Amino acid sequence: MLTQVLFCFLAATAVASAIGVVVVRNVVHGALLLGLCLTMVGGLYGILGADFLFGAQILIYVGAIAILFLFVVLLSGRRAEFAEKPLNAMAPQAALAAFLIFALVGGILAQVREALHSLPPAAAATTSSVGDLILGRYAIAVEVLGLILLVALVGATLMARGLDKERV
Amino acid sequence: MNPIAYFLVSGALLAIGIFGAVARRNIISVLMAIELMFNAANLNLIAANRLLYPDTAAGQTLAIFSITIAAAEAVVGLALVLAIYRKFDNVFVEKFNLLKG
Repeated sequence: MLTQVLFCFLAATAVASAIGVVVVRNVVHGALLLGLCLTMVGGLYGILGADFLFGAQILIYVGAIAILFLFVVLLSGRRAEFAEKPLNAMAPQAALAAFLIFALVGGILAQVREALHSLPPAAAATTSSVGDLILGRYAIAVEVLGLILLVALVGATLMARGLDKERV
Repeated sequence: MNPIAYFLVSGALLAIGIFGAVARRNIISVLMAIELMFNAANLNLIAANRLLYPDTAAGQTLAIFSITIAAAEAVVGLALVLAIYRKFDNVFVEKFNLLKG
């Protein structure tokens, strides 16, 4: 019962703030709404029993990515751009395409509704098993992932700094 | 709780993200919409992990990989936004016509 109430609150807030992200005129508000939406999705991970991912979502997405978006919004653009219209001429077609994709997902889910009637009970705590997988079976993949992060960091620094000599 | 609800939320986030990525004019908002789609995929992975294989955490591990790749993508994308802003002095995608013949 508590889970259902919590799920309804988290899901409704997540979807509403996601809609806000894509329609709001002021991009600063969009970045803050993105942070809210990511927090709510993190809460959904929490009630699914993925406790480590709940923490990772809050730390990485809300703490790093949403704040990074805020920084970039404040570093680029001017205040006058907030007054311009936020959507381009393709908005009706894009809305139709998005609705069709959602209808496709809903149709597929309606087909398999009988097979998916209830969730199995969650494992007690998943953090230790996630840690076992990361440092055991998928250890090499984690190393490669660290390499990707390093390359992304160096490349992002290089691109954001600019390649011209006078801007060091 | 019915597992279909989680997949429906995931599908809604995916559709909203597609709409934002196609229809927004500001390039930073386009990147935000892409982050929404990443989150839809992660929610789907975790819900399917819980639904189909509740005694392992392989789906959650895959979601961790996805979150890390998403972080790298956001960092590179935002660095590109800054570089493009310095070149064009603008953040609207229809103004970026460097490759137009």
